[in-house]
Amino acid sequence: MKKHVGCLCQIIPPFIIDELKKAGVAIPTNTRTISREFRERRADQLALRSSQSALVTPPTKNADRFVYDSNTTQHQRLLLVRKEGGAATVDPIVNTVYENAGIIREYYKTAFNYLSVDNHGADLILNVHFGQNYANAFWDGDEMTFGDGDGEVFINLANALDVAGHELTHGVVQYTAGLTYQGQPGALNEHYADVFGSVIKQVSKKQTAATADWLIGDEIMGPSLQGQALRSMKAPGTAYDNPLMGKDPQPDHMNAIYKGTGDNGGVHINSGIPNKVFFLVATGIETDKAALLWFETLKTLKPTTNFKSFKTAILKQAKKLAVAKRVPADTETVVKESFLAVGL
Amino acid sequence: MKLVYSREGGLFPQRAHTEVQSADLPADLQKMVDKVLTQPDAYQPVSANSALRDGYQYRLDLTEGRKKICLRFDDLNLPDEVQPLIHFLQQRTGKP
Repeated sequence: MKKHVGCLCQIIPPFIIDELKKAGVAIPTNTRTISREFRERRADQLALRSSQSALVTPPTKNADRFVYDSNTTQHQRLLLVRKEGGAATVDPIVNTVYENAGIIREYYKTAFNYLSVDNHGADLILNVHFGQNYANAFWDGDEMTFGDGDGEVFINLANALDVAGHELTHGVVQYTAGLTYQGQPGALNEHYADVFGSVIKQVSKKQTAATADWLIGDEIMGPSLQGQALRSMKAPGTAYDNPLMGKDPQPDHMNAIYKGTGDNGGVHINSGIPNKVFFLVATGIETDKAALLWFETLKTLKPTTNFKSFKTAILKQAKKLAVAKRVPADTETVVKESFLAVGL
Repeated sequence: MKLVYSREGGLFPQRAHTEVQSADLPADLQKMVDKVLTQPDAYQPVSANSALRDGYQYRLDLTEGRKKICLRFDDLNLPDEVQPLIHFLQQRTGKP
């Protein structure tokens, strides 16, 4: 290994700093230091978690929130603009994403006694204003990132609780079942992200299965697309139909399952099938009970779980939870009927 | 020189695609493309992030005569220098 000679190491590339200076954005030295220390601390955490000692005493943190401003570059952890307990900033997007991450963290803690994405209280890293007119949001294995949207199809993606819930749940899936991102296991990965994005929105709005709209991303749609959404869990395939986005391709039954290679084998397409199942089960036993059943099942899934083995796993948990009186006695029947309704 | 650009992925399934001759690009992007063609290895991403969920995957094919270059990026390894070209081509696709 090469010896690390004395050099100016910094998180923010020098040319970005120059551009930011030109634009009048000051980058405090301590922010850069915090970012570097933060990365180092996270590396230590990961190393410890994978060590034998971690199996005996899992390290627990506080799931602190850190919000970074990418300043319309495609760089993450560029400028630390708000951290846990810090005062609100003048940027409403920063404050909204900070509050939403708090709501999601509280939901997982209260509903399942599950802390942060890894149940060890990992810090929650949120990047906003990523890229130029970037009309997307993603989870990258470590943190969440949100673009400002193009202003036409999507407005700022950091504004929506269900979108943040979707991305953070990708982290939860990563640390539990670790569902691979291809084909049916990938569609289940997307399904879980949609389920908890929707459930957390329902809890926050004090809705029930009957009063919820079951839409994902309806609050990020641009001015000309009001009333449409990214997905409908109640009626997959009907969320959008417009010249800018095309038509929602999600099937709601196995007889229309997508078999192509695009979208990693249809991870965002075929998730419509289990999404419909969740909607039907939640309608039968109420959303909070269905969420408990889905979460307990998630902890038992394998990375390669397909729709059929997912059904088996859900039914097994339904029986177990019904015996423990944590879900209604007829849950197993409701689940069976719901899977049958989509051809499973 | 012919450029073929495509982008897949994102929160909702969408494929963006466009083709353009380099002569139709703005002057600064033409220079950039010439650089890529002469030094393709300098623009190859180090590695893809297999944990990326909902991110975009970009593909850029350059063809001049018999020479063919294929570059693949995602949101986390897209080089700064290439971003203006990707941004321009994405706008040409007419997709968000």
